[in-house]
Amino acid sequence: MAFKNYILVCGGTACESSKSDQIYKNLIEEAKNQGVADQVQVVKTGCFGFCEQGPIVKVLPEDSFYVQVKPEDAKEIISEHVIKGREITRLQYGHHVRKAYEEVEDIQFYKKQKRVVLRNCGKIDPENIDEYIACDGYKALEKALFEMSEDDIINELKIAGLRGRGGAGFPTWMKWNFTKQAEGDVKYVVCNADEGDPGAYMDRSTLEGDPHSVLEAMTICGKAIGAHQGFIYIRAEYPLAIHRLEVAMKQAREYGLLGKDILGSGFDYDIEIRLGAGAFVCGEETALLQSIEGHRGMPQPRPPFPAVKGLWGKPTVINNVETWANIPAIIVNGGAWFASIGTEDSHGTKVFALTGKICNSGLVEVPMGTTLREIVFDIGGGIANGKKFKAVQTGGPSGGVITEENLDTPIDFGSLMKIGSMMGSGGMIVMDEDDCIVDVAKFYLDFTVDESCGKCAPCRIGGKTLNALLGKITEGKASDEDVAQMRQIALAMQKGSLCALGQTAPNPVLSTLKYFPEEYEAHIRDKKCPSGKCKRLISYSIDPTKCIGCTACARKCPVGAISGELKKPHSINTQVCIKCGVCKETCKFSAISVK
Amino acid sequence: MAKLTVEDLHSIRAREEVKMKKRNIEGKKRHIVVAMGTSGIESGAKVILDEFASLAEKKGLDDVIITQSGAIEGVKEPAIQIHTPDLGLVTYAAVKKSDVEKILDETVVGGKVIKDLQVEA
Repeated sequence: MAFKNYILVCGGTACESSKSDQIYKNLIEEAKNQGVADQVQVVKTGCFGFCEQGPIVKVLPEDSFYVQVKPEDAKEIISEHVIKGREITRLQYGHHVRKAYEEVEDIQFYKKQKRVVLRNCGKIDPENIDEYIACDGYKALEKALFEMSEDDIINELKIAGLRGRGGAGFPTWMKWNFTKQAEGDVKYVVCNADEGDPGAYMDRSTLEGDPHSVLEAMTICGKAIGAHQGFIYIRAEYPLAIHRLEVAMKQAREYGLLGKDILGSGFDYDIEIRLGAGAFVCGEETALLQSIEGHRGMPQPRPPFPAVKGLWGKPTVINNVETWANIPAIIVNGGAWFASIGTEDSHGTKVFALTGKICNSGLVEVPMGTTLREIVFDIGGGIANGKKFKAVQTGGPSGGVITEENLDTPIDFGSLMKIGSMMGSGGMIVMDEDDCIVDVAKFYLDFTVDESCGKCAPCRIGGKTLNALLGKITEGKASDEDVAQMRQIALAMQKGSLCALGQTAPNPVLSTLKYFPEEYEAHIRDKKCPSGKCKRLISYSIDPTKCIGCTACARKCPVGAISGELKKPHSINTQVCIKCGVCKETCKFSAISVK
Repeated sequence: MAKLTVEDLHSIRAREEVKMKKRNIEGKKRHIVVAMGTSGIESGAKVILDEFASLAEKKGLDDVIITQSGAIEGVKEPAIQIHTPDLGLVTYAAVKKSDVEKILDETVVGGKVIKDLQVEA
């Protein structure tokens, strides 16, 4: 066998949107042109996680980590690296130069991570079932079909202590057990891939990078509860994930890992995909089931829970993508192995989509119990552009803000609840000093008001009223009574809404009120926005002692609000100014301030 | 494609694991670097590189990682470097294809330096 280089190109949505597909094609083309096609294997993998630095290309066995690669770099990677063995420092992360035998210094971003859910992402070609099989793929299914009873499977999950990764953290084994014990000949398995939190893309990346793990887990569940049909509910705006799933299902059927008599065990099972139109409420399980049945996606009262009366009235297990992806690893390695990771309250790992004002945005997977500080500052590299940390929002529009004082909270289901936020599905949005906290609360309320299905009054009317009151605050028209009313509405929504969307919608408001009361007061009493975000409350002015009259701001102003003679201090006509802030960004002499 | 039996699944896994293992570098501690700069290639380093790769596979040396590098300055090519936890760094110059097996057996596996080939780099 001759020597071979392996070039792994990230094929996640983030890297593909910065042309990683073209890089992949160019690498194959260049290898052919330069006569070394037989010496390289180019593999398109799932997400590496370090999306900030994408597109990512990894070359093995040298373990070169090339970042922000462009399609035109393909030629050099083949001619320099593959043919002459010279690592391309220009592309290497951190431009790190090393001797050939030196191991790559651990990249800070990956140091505290542990990959269970994303174990195959960035490692295998998700469109090649053989590579999945090579990495213990379908080993769990074989074990479940031939060596374990239904109760053994459920018991293994119980030992593992796996809790649902969709947000609520309900023990998975209990769900399965209820469904198994529920009466009925026909039962269903459903995968909730309706990921809707702003900024969250854990599930998408898992499906793009390792679709077989979800298929395998759903089949195992079918065996455990006695179901023969599964459905994956995924939003149509995830075309790449849908494509990879379809390819994976086709390959699994060809191998007989889906379909009749799987592996000669006599067990029949198949999976279908159902596309959602992107309604946030369809991530709620009862609404999701309605949508699969072809009805409007509206939540139903619980109980009865889906485990008793779910899809078409039949007992149904419904789990989130990340929960599913954990299961094959648990069956292969044992529940005790899984339970050894994480904290007493929450076992295993959690994947977060780290976004916002952070240096290293991307997909991170950490053991439960890792602190928020480690995620934001060690893995995330801290706040971008040297700004000051303000807060981090977990749980998306259902969660709350976490401030500096709580940054050392270990991440698990219980601890996050205690400080007024929640685990959520894994969105983690970092805010800096420039973000106005009232504006942030309003952003989330805008979102939930938009996405409310309108079925129950507390959510439909409460959300809208709450949003209007927040609007009043950002416009400087609110009084202390309005805050009292907000609290009342929030309570009513929490108690009276039909589903989690309405019940949790006030959370961003309540938690920002709790942790940033002074910012609300500034808006209400002083009619000021300390971060300079709320347009009605701010005005821009030019300091005549600092302005040198360069005219740069006047030229950039989109509404012509700035006037003045060349080399003489300028001034802003606040009647015309639309407070877009372009002048402040343009000024090189810090002469423009916002109050 | 015929539907798989459990045995089929095992044989696919066994076949694919071999391929994946080559890609996987985790835990591989013994390192052979073949200098593949322009002059290295000209002196026949590619033959040496392939010989190392095929013999290491034949001998089942799972924890050996073979990579390329640019030229090693000031030594007669084809040149290679071996780095193991026990030996540290050893440089061999003017390596011939027929030396490869000996290098693998004596230095990489046996942990002994071959004085005739060794140079200071």
